[in-house]
Amino acid sequence: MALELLEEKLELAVLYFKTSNYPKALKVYDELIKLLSNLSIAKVKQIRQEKGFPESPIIGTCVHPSLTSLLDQRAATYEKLDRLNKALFDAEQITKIDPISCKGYLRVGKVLRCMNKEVEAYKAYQTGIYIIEQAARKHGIKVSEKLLIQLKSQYSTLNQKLRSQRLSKTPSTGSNNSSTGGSQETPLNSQLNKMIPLKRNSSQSTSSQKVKVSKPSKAFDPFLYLPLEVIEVIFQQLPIHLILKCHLVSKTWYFCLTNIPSLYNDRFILKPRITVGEFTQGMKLMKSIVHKSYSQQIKNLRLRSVINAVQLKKVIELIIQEPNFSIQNLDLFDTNLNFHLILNRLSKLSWRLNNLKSLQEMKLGLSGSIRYENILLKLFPKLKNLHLVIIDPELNSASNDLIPIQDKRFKQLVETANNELVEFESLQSLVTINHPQLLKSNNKMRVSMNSFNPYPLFLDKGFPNLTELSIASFDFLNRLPLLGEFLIKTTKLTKIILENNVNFKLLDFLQLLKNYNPSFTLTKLVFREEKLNSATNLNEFSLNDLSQLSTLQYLDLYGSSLSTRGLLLFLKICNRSKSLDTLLIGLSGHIYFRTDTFHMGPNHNTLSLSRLIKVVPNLAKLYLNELDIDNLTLKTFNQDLEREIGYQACKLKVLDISFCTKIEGIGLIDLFNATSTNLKRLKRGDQSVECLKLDELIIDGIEINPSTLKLLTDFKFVKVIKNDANKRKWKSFGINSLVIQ
Amino acid sequence: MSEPKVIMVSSDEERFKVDQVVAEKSVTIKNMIRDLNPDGLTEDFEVPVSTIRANVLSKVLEWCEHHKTTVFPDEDDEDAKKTAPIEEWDRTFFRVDQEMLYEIILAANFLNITPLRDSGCKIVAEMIRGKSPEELRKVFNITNDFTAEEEAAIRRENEWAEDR
Repeated sequence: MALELLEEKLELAVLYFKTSNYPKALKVYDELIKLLSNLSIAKVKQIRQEKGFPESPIIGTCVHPSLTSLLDQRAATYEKLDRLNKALFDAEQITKIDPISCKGYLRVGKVLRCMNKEVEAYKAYQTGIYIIEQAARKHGIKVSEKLLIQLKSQYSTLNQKLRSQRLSKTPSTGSNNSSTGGSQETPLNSQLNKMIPLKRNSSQSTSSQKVKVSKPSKAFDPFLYLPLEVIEVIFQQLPIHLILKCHLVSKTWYFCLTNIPSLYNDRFILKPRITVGEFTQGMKLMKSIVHKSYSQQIKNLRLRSVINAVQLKKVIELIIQEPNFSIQNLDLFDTNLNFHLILNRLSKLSWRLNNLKSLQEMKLGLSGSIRYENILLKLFPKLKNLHLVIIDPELNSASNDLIPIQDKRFKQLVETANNELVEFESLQSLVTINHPQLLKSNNKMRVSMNSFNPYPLFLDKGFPNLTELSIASFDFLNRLPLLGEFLIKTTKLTKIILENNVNFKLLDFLQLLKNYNPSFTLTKLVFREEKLNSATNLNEFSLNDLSQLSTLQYLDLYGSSLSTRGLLLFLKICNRSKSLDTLLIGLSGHIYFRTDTFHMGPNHNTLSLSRLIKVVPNLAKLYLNELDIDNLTLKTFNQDLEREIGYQACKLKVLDISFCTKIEGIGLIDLFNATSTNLKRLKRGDQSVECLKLDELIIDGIEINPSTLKLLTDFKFVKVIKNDANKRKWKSFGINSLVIQ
Repeated sequence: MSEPKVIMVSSDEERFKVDQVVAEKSVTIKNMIRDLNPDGLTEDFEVPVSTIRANVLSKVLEWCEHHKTTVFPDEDDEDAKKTAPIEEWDRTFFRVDQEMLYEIILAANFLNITPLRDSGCKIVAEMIRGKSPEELRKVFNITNDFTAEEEAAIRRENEWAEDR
């Protein structure tokens, strides 16, 4: 039959249907559906365009525009012929082809109700409404208002009916009447009863037995009670592996959960040492779930290692090539992974990026130094976040052979990527972390590897919209002018994190800011020096310098070489707009606090905690790890607070004194002024007792009597105390923690 | 004259007279009051909530009364909402049977009282957390309708995820 006759044939079928000549109508529908289903994709697209439809629908499968209504009509015909299974199949086809078809869900529900499967019909309506409303809310896709109202009213009528059925059944009387499915039965069981009426007697006896066994307390399947949007909120609380476990509870759980893509698509988190087989299984499941979402995309794929190098290769190929497996954020760490391997795979795939085409975030954990890094930007110009972390200093010696040096496109890429001065407008966050071992000057790898590069990456490129820059464990020898030029170009920076870099002191950085005078203003600065340098007073700077730092909120100077004087000046510079609320000065070797050993008085080079508060009055979080602080420091802090600042005026909420090993329980008691007189007054409910009150106190690495800590929380001096005596030192934290594992 | 009150009428026609701030914990009711009384309430305002039974509505209002001054984390801050622990008072409040728990969540969902809905959802999530499928079936009175083969297939399908 030719396509041109479609309209006529259709009219004929409708006529047959209206005159109750169902078998004839069915025959015509069969013919038409077969015809439309067998059209080639190209033909379908052409027809859709001719009829004014978008070439392919925003969601769902690309089919002839009349196919779903034909299926609906055929389902109606089957219904009349009482071939309900066939009708259900057609109806479900509609919702598969077009997940936002009101008609489809209405038909599925109607057929199910004809089959006496009311609970399933209820679920079908619910799923439909959920999907359609999500489409409207998140993507602005509208469906026919009239049909949607119809769908909703069917849903609520059925909902009320089912609920009143449930409520009218009390567990004690439910046993002698099983015709409509009492509350103690699962819906599938009750449906079974209806579907096998002949066996009614026997099923009755089993169900009544069941009632006796089950507890008198009311237990209900939440999936039958709560709409999918609420189920979504519940399961958002749970990690993905627990959701997967819940698949095994029942068919209802499995189907409902896998119909909520948002529970899965942003956390495809794979187990470490995964095999290709396991990865393929996971990918299959994810694909089927993601297919129901509107983005049709895996939002986050995180893979922390593949079982071996050979399987890693295969997994990378799957990630890039697998059809319909588009990925938004890719997070891939493996010590067998290196940049050469990625280039090699891409070359093999003729540089087609497939699933990675719309990649927004790429986090790679690699081995060996990175070479050809500029190609990366060239290939993925749309990236918003790029994180490169060297997790293993040693590059497999065979890896050099992987570089596709013979590949024409590769040669061309290398040439243009290195020579062009291109701006990458989409990049917002750039994190590069080198392996500390690759910094050592007499490292054997430095000699043996021609791809060794200890110097910071991408500084010759332009990122006009970059807001966050992190560089750790690189060598800045002769690279400071380059960084200065880079900072001038990068005007939108708000966060800079520089950690453990060689030939790069805090003083260098501040001088760089002063000399190049970039125009950004920061909210966050982390500068952790690689080693303790000679003390600096910042004599070269005045209060009006460094406008870039005047609005800082977060300042981390762990292990800095500032002297007490230098620190106080620096804090004044950074707090000019009174925005600083978080300060970390742990392990600063040239700052001396007032302690039992240093108590020469405030005129000498000792610092009291109250002085910090006076300079930074809005300070809410203070981290003082690994400093020479003792009980006296804390005691004088309390006294100064009372005398000079006032407890009410102190904004401090979080205090971290981890690894200050001289601190004992008594120091903490003194810090909060928890004297026995005060405790007695507090016990009596005396509201006038004044003292320091904190939300959080962190004292890891010190052994403190638990009863002292309990006293502090019982009397509400502190809301939460964290005390882990076994925790590792601060040195291993920071962004380097990704490397040192 | 005393401040105008809001009267909420349950499906079984019971009337609950509450302060406006209490009723306005429900965004649905708040919007309704604003839309119908752009200049503010001048007299008592009656709202039928015909989908909620009296015993459920009284629980919901008990919660609203207790939390009338509580400031909840930002609506849009998904992470803060997710990680916030269940308040001790809420935990005690939710010591009810499963049916009542679901009814309260449904009512909160209908009335758009997000913190109450989320709190209830967290309670259900805790009931699920850490239990084997078999234990879950017991807790919620569910029959396993999978065949052994189907179960094995689902287990295989799940092997990629980290089990911790």
